[in-house]
Amino acid sequence: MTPLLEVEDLHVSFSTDAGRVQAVRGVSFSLRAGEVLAVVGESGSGKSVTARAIMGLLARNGSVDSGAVRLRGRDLLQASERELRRVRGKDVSMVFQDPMTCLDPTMPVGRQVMEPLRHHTRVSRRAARAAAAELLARVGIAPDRMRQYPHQFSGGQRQRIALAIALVNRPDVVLADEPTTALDVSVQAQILDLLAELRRTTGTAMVLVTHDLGVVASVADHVAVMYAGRIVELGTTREVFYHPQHPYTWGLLGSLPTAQTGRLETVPGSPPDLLDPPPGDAFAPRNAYALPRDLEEAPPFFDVSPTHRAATWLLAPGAPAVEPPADVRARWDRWEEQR
Amino acid sequence: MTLARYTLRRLASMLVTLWIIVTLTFFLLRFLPGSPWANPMDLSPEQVAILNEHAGLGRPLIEQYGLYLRGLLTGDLGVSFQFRDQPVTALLAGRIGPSLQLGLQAIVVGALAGTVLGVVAAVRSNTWLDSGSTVTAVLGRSVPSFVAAALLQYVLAVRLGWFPIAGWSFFAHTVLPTIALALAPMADAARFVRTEMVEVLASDYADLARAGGLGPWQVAWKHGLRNSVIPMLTLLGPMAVALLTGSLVVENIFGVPGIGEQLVRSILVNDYPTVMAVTILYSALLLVVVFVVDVLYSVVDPRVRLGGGRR
Repeated sequence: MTPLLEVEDLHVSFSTDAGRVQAVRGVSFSLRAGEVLAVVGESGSGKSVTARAIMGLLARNGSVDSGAVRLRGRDLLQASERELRRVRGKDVSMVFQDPMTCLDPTMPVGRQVMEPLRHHTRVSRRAARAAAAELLARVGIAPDRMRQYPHQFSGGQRQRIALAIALVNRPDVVLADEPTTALDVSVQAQILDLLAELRRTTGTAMVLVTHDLGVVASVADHVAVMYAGRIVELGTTREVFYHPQHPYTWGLLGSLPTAQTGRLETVPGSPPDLLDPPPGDAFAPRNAYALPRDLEEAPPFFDVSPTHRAATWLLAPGAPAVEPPADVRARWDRWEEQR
Repeated sequence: MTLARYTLRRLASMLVTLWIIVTLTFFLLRFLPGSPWANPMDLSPEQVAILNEHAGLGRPLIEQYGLYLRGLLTGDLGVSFQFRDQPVTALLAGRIGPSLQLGLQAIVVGALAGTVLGVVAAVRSNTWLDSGSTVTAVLGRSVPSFVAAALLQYVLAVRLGWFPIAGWSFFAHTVLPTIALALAPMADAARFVRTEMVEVLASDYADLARAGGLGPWQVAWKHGLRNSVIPMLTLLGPMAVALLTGSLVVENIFGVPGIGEQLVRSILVNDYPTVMAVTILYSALLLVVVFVVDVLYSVVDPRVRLGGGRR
């Protein structure tokens, strides 16, 4: 089965006064119809930039330097702006981070939901209105509020409306850029439930960009962990959570609060300067488990399973066996038990 | 607060403002040196006394003030001192039409042209279109209206003969003065709209619109325009005032029988009733413009819509 969306060796950089910032340095992943891929990483790891590059909506100073983004086999990076406009909002749509600013304050929300529909298909205003009403009802917004303006809704409600906007053309893929980050924790859970439900009922594939591993567990099928513009580990959600291989993933998992957590663990240090990225594994300088080779040579992906790979020399044949932190060891034990 | 109550409150405060203006103008004028009869005419003291008596200037100032206010309430603005027994209202009524027409035309033309320039500059920011629009705006702002008026008159009327040089009979007469007056508001609007539009186009909701498949012009039209024109409404007030006062020179150049010229002549000869009337007229116009702008605000920007209305 050919993947629905395939990103291959994507490189994105931004020109700044200080030089070119290499925000994304060779990202590859693929997504099949109906799947949810979570892209996880700290701020500045290039996850949002990846999503925007797929849409062709980079900021003006950003450019895709190389790579391919194939939607059903067609390379969007080669498409003209005109062709891209036919794809945006129709085949691929996007949900942004901040629901407080992503809706037009001067337009009734119903019309904002109708807009992509009427833009892409010849439908009467009435039919569009009906479709918008139905969709809004599905995301939990009473259709009689269609004439109201964004400021009359709460943050969670606005994110529901944004979801409705993203889904109105029944896209193949929704790129959700931190859709819960700006929301209260209780509302986050509602939105996540809604995402899971919409995914079940609409069969839309989703790329869920987040820095919150907790968000990932409940929704995603696969997880890509990004660091400094690269994917360092990619696997099914179970694999990444219970059989993590890259020390950066260990750090991320270790910093998740759990019921047993006393003092919250953090990953020491700060991400590298992407103006001048280090030669080896970018995480190596912060990595207690780094091998000398990690500092010098960028590790390739080593397959852990057909669905699971990680970029660390620890997985190379003949690498010294390393004992992971205790919490990761506990995860591995769970993994072994359940096999 | 409902719109009706809001309107009533605004009207009340407008009336109070107007009253304060009337009072200040009334007393300031009287404290100015000179009298209506002092200037060209060589009158005997007896004649002056008769004239004063006739015009009511002999009574105590406070009594004159009371009389003036009473007249004002009944729409009687007095009789002009310059023209024999001509009521001020009639005098101004004949002159307000051209001024008002010119002012409105200039505001509409200036605001529209400026908006177009500003939008183009923002959507194509940092291209030659942007620079061209900026240069146009700077020229429009920095060339005084009387220079522009003279230039327009020379090129379009004298050399090309497309429009009449001066006068006030046909619509064609209004074209050149309108353009001359519209340049400054156009420049202001262009600069304003560009700034606002650049900001709006960088907003999240503009990104969302682009993510929905809209092209740059569609984003500007559907989402940008409304959001960037809102702040420009504030500009309409000052624009209107600038036009009212600035039209004086342009009216003179093009021989427009407007109100501006009348005002200056009346001040020179201490024609109290006329000066008062023009002042009241200008103030009332300004107050109305500001009020209309506020109401427009609530129409364009739903967030300003006063609570309690439709929910």
